Amino acid sequence: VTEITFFYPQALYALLLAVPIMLLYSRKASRPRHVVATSMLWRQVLPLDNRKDWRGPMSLAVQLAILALLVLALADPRAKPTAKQTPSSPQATASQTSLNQEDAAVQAIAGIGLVDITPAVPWSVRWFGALAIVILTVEWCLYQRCWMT
Amino acid sequence: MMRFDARSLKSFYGLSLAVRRRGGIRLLRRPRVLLAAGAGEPTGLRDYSPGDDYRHIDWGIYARRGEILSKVFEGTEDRPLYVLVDCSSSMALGSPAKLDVARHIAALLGYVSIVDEERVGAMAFSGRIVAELPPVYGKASVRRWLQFVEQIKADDMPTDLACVADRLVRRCGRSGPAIVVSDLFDSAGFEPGLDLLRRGGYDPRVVHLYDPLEGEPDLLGDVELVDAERGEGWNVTVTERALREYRALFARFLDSVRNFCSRRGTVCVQLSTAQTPNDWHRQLLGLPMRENGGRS
Repeated sequence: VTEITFFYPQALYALLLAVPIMLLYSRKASRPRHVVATSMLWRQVLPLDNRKDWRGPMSLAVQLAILALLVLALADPRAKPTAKQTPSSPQATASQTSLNQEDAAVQAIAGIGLVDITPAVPWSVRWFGALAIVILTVEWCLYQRCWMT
Repeated sequence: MMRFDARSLKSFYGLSLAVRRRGGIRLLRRPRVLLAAGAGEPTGLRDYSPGDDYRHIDWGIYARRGEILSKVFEGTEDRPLYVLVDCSSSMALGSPAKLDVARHIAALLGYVSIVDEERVGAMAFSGRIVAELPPVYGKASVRRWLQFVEQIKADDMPTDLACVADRLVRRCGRSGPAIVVSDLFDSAGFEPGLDLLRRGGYDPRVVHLYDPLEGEPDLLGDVELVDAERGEGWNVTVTERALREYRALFARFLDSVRNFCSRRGTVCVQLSTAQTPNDWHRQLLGLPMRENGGRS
């Protein structure tokens, strides 16, 4: 069984964005109740039917799925090499802590893009912030339905 | 529960005097019809037809010209007035509630008719006849009338004017003018019910009540719309466009009531619950409205 590890596990904190997404959705889903004398006039203006509206839950599911995919992409999951397994590629060796950045050979490999030697924390923090801003903006627009008015 | 206190009765009495001074109001006016007899002085003559009472043959003309003519009398028939108050769930909405306004109007119309020595009956209806007061007569019955009107409560059934009219028509009682006090929110349409009353010998008149907020609803965006009469709810998104269409539709509904009554020659008074009682009285009595329109 292959064990999965994450190259940037800090990115998994972005999953916390699911909390505001669900809060905004629940707030949007709770509609104010308005009692009208008759529905016979509204029926001619709006489609009134008692079928369950699936668009709301579906929208939430899609948003959570996109968030999960983005977070997983940022976390960069990889198969953890076993003890018997020999490194088969330069990328696999890059994930090991034994990589010495002072090594001239590795520096050369990094120069042609085979190994990512960028420090993990600044990269993930940058993308984490950008992702949070984008998702929260989209959520807020969905909540306000700003395209309607 | 609405109570008619001494102040209300004083107001009703003043209005009954005003009605008498004006020689009646359109809502309560009895049509003058040709009667076979019993209305005092004859107003004309017509050819004798089999079945006419011999006592009403003008024997003087027969003696002079040899023609057999029957005397014609004109007057008002002694038929009771019926006040039909809609007490469906939709009438409980509004501020003041439409049902409170309907009770006020029913009490006033009944009071004026009783004081004018007419026989008046009342009926509270929704999709069925909820309560009924058989025609009463004489000033001593004012108290009974007001007690009945006070006790009308909102029913949980939707309005079905046609069903109620059908039951009323099928009865063997005497027909007469029938004043329908309602918001006319009948899912099957108010027209069949009024037509049924007319065909059944009743002379329908309409007092149409509406709440201004029904025409200008204060809702936009995602709401749960609940029908007060049926209790059903729908999750809808009300857009500006839908709201504009609804306003136009409501205005057309008010117009349709006026036009229908106009085509049938039915007296129709449309009252907004936002108006003051004085304004309701003025509209019912056919007096000009005040310029300022403020509450007193």
